[in-house]
Amino acid sequence: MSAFDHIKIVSQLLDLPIVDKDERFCGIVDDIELSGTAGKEARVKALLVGPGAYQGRMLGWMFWIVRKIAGDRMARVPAEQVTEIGSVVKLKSRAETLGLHQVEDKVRAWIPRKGAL
Amino acid sequence: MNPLELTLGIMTAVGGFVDISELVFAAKAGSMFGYALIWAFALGTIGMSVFGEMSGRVAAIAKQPVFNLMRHRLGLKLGLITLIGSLISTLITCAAEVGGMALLLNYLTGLPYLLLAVASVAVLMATMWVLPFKWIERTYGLLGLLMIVFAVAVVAIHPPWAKLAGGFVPQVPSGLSSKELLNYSYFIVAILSAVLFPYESYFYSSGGIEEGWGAKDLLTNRVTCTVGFGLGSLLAISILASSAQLFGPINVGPEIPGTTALEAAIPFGKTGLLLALLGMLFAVAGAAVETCMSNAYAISQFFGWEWGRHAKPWEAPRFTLAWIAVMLLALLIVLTGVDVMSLVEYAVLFSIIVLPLSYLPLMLLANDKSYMREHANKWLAKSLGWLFFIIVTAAAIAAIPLYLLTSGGGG
Amino acid sequence: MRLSDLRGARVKTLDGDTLGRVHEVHVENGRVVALTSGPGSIIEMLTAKNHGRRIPWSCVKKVTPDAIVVVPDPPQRIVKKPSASRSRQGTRRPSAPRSKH
Repeated sequence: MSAFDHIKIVSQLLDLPIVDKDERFCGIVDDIELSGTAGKEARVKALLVGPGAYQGRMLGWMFWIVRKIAGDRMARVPAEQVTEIGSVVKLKSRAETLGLHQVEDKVRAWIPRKGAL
Repeated sequence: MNPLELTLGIMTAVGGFVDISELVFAAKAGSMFGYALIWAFALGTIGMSVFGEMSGRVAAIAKQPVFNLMRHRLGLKLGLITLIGSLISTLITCAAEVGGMALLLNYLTGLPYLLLAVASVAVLMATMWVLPFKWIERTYGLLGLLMIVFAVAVVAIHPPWAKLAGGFVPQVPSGLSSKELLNYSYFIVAILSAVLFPYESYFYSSGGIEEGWGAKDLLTNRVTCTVGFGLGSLLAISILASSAQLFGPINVGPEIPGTTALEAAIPFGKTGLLLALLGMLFAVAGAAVETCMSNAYAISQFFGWEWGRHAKPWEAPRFTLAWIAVMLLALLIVLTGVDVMSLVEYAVLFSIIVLPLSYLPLMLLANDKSYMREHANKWLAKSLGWLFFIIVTAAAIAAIPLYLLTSGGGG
Repeated sequence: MRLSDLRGARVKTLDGDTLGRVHEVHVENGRVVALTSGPGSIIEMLTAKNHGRRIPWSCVKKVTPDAIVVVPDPPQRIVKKPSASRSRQGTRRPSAPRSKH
């Protein structure tokens, strides 16, 4: 039974948080890539994660502001990586292997690793 | 349910209930309208208990904090509007709390206000860095219990108990001029806003996730929200009642927290004054931490970042950067020299405007059986939830006109 | 093609009739099987209980930036029931009892 057995991808998948194999948060389902064409077979191909995925979801000027603040990076999470869809989307791999923790890892280098109990 | 943990949880809720906005508006309401606005605090507290219980239940059962699910329900554009509105209102509230801390430390030490603002932020950031979540919450909440001196003080000054009890009944005092009536209405809206600040439910639901709440914790959640918030609210009502008894008859308007502290000084002298100032300091400090973390939670959850103080700061780096940035921005606002009381007014005004958009998704999520299963809202929670949603929506609509017509409650 | 190309897009028949906007995309076994279109409302969006006309994907002729074009008078199933329950189990966090503030 796959995660995409019977699902409404607007109300039950879009904008859900994503957690990786180690249950770490690694983004939100910002858009969904579909393969195929009108009327012919169309399949869920990948989840799109990152500010670059906002382009189809907001007005041009809004996306321009988003791009200036956050850039336009976008990660593609192949549909086969999804193991479960509930109140979060669970993946079978670690975030790093899917290119999902790049910014988190960059910022981590700025945070001193001392003092916290 | 561990009795010790539950007791500590309730005590933390009591000590952490009051923040600078409630302090200010309780004292002013008492001096201006006697006991007539006690019901507004009681009503707001019931609302806070209802929404707080819902947000804790959503965290325990859906295992998701409100802001995660809010984006899923509102979508990106409407969710962004809610996020931005919430961030602005909570940031202003955080700045008001930091300014309040600096003011209280100034009374205690005599040192310059702006220097104390910087020192306050440094101490707050150090505690948020060093301590794990549970101990951040408990430290300020339990130290805030010093505010109990206000409850003891109101008993010591022998108020007219029948009149005080009458204040719990919703009323419009007779004989008010139209200007005073507008002021009275503004105070109702402001008190509801101060008690129902949206950051409280974001912090509470995120805290539930931080502490790994599950179905077994639902009773704890319910008791904390009813008993804890209820007792905490009595502290705010004590301040109002003392103000009504001591300041109202002599037309003293307690514009600053220092005046409010006199409510404990009058019956108990220097000891009472010291306890009052320290109690207020820790309560306001706790609120500063909550508002700061609430904003960091909201941003992190909206964008799917790793978040929480159950993790070490470097394990959730963007969340850490977020709360540091919020605290520094709050400090920057205070360093502009803007009056703390003005910040309190703006905080209350902005918060009530975003309140309906903040609580509507929570209501809908708590009603949703696909998330909540058998723990979805039953008839009581549904009825009360929708009732309070209508009340806060009406207050949100009335807020700006009343603020302008009354010059922020100044008459 | 992305979901954002479909969601909110106007649905028109080849005859020019408008059938509302897409507010749901149905997937079975990973395949897109239908769209739901209709007037939509903010209440429906907030409650995720989208009513409207379910149009089989096989009836979609063209997806353009302006509209999704479908066959005239596509076979329809009016969606009245609320969305089916799904398991909504979330992630776990280290457990410890807590307090409010």
